[in-house]
Amino acid sequence: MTVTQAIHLIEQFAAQAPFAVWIMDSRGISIFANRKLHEIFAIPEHPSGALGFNLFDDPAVEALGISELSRKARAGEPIDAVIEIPHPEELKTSVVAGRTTPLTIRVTCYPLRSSAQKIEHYVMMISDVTETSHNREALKAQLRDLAIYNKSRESRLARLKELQEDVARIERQLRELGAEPAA
Amino acid sequence: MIPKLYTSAPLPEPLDLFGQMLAQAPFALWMADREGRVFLFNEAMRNLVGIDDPDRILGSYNIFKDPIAASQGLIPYIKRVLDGQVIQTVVMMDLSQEDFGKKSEEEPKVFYVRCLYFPLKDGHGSFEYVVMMVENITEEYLEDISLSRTAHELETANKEIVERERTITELKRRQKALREQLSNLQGV
Repeated sequence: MTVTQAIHLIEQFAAQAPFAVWIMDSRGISIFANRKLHEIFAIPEHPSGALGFNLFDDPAVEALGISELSRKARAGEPIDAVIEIPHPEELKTSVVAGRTTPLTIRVTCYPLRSSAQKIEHYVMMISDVTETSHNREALKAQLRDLAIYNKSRESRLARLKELQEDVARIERQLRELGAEPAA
Repeated sequence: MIPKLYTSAPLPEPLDLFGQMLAQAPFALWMADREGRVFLFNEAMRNLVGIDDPDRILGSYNIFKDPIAASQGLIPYIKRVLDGQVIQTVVMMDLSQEDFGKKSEEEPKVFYVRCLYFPLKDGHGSFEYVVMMVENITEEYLEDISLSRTAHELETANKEIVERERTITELKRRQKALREQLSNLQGV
């Protein structure tokens, strides 16, 4: 492995990654976007359709309720969050996208610092986790059902016991009267 | 201290933007060639597995002979990456199976990681390199295990509830019939 090969491969990592890579300058303006980003959001023009936007000041930040997350990311705190992106018609954003369905994405954002610890860039890596996220939510909903069931479990058991005792009592009474309880 | 990128061919300093992106990434990463030899890893990988001497790994550590992946039957899957496949899996990383030299006795040796393997093409368009990205997801994984266990309990509970409702219905029917029988006997 030569130095030139290594440099080339490092560049290719961003280009060929199976997740979206969005790089911003220190102001938050997008300066690099890979092809996967365009695929996830269906942004038509590659790469220009995803460049030149200030992602920290985009109207979508407020619309998505992630202002605090955005503030932390801007301050240099690494972020790892799952974000629900609604249908495009319900979301105001500067980024023009041809996406037609809601999305659930996992976003990892971290700063790149100089040797003087000054933030020079931000890197955002985005994966489409719509399917896995929905499966997890469905499982959690099932668990809520279980909790509800567990709450009523005791009363159901008490009702069962009460019925069993009453049936046994009537059967005893019938036998005392010389009758065989009906099947 | 700025995190480093360790490569078998030392890169010119300072690293360019993409080099910094890998060096300062919060996720662990390494890259291997077609034969499986690791030629690059980042600081997060060094910290995750506790690599003492980078030179002991670079150019000689072979991901196709990795005892942790081998013990979990992953090697054939990892090799498929060179056919262009992207593979994501959860691996129990037991560092007692592989000593990278730096982990202290106090640090946990067993944790769960999500591994993402994907290929990189060379300049001629053929898949020549394997990237492995690793995240420690022990907490999330244990929560998932707990969710799955609870889901299993839910299934059992659902069966139980159906069975119990059937018993209650049957008991109510029998209670009614017996009450009628008793009323008839008592002449009420």
